[in-house]
Amino acid sequence: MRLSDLKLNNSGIVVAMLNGKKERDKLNVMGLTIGSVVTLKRRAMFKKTLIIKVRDFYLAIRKETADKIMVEI
Amino acid sequence: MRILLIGNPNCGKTTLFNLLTGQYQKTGNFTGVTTEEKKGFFKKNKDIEIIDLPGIYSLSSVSLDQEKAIEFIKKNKFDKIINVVDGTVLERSLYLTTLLTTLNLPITVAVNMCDEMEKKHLKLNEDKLESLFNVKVVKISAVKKINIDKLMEVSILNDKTPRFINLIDATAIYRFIEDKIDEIVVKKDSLLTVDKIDNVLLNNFLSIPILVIVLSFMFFVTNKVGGYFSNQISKTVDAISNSVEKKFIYNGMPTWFISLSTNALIKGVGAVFSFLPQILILFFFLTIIEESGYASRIAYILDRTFKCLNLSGKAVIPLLVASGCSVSGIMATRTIENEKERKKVIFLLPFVPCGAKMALFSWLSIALFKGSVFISVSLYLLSFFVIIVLSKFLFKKSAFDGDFIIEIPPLRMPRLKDVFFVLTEKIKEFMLKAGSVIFIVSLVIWGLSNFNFYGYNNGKIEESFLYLIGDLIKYIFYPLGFLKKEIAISLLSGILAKEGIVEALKMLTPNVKSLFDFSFTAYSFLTFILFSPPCVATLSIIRKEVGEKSLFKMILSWIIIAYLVALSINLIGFIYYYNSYLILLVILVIILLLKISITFYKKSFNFCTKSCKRKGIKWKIKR
Repeated sequence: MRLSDLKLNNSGIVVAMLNGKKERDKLNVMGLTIGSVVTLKRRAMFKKTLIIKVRDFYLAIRKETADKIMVEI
Repeated sequence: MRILLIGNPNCGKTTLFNLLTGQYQKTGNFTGVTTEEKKGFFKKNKDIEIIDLPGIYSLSSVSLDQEKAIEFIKKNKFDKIINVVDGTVLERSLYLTTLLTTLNLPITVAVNMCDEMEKKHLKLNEDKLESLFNVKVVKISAVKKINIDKLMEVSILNDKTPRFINLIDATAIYRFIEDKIDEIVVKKDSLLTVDKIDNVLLNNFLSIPILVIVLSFMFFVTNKVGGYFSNQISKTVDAISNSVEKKFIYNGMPTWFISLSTNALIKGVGAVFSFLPQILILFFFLTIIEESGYASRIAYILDRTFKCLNLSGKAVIPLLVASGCSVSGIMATRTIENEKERKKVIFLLPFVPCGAKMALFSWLSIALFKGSVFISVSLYLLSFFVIIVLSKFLFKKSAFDGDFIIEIPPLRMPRLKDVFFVLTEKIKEFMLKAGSVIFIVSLVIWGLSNFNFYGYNNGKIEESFLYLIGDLIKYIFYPLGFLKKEIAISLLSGILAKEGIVEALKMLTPNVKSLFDFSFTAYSFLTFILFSPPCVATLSIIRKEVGEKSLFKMILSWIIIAYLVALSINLIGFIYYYNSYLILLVILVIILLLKISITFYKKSFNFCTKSCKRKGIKWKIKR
């Protein structure tokens, strides 16, 4: 399932990242890699911006980015 | 010996740098406060040079500030590295450490925030970390000043060559760290208890009302309290000037000397000092917002709104910082990766009224509108409106890759010391400005207003060079309803720094209100100042960031926008006043002209035009 489909405070393991190379590199460098555990922490109004927890810190990303990250619960 | 401080953004490098060198650099609780490298010498041994770099996540560039840092590392030679890591997010921090081993320099890992680690029940196994990378490890706390001297001792003596870890792929490196991390840090509790304050600040229904309340409170206090103090200062300056004048006349000083010292120096330069209270109060609030970590949360809250304006949430922090000072706002745009978006933000940024403009407006609103709060508020709203319109329509949606990935740092209590530091820095900056630019502007205006081709004119300002100049340029401003030459002259003296406007008005006329025939002309005067090109300091930093050509285009557009906005306000005023439909016709013509000029700009600016779009599509197909 997509990272953006996670329920609040649920975690998943990243299994695939279909983002563009630049975006993927950026996420990778910050610790969001295939195999990492992510938790969805917050959805902003209209659910278009998300805050996720990965490797013990919070990251704000857009739904468009999260849509391309596949996770497995 | 040269020691390089390196680490992730917002891990406390600058705080450590300040401690080691005894200097004081600005800190903050968001990514990208340090945007250029800073050098200093260890305060206990001046042979050791310490270099502080912008925070980076990896050795391949992600954004402009990080790119500059990486370029700097590759170009320069260092003897030792101190890798500052945030102990509470060790897993991510060690990624950079792994990459640093490839530089083949002795690395000392400074595990920062050891006090916060204790609070979170994290136990660091230093030996394991040392043997993993073959580096030295010191637990420190830059904020609490724990183990700072020990860190320097260790790193100076450190000559271990780090173990080379032959992994390039991020996923592989993180997997490698993941395997070892449980041995390095022992977690006792589950980390990151959800912050209760965040639940309120970032609540879907409360976040925007809270933001509005916080910002309006900030501007209200700045305007009201600051306005009170600045009024007090103006009164004192006038009193001093009067008593000095009396004393000089009593002592029989020559008239030109009296006029120089009272009009130019005390009244002119002194008038500018009435700006200081507003600027200080504004920066007090801004520093608290930055230090607490609320700034990145504002970016998160407003990202969607900004996306509608073809900007990303990353533009929020620069625009917020710009409400204090445009120069720092422009430096803060370096965290925006997309070059086009960055240019756009730089272009729109001077429209946000900075501290000096705000103080100027409150001075003018006292002089022209009996200090009505409505004036300042409406100017803010007008500037937002123009920014929104320009951002939405002047630059069409382009090939922005539109990513918004920012770290949300934990909320921290702002430290009084840092707030205090920013304020003293502002006072210093202000004194310097008053002593240099404003002093010179004062002298020039005084000189021009007191001399003509025949020499000193005995204080008859009507026969001076200044009036000659004013007579020449005042026609440019006729359509805006600025009929008096004093207005043209004051606008001219505001080119170097906006404070010059107040100075000139103060020197040229005792009653500013008498210069304007209608109150709406006075208001259009304010809007003209608001949208006209920013001060020279801002222009020079923009030149550095985007180059001369773009700067020139920007200046031209700012002038045109300022002129058009002032013109339309003036016209609306006239229609209202005379109830005339003929003027409505004129407005229609103006709108037509506006449309033509917009199309012209779209072509010449090349920001995000159709051709851009096409390029974007091509690029996508290629990939």
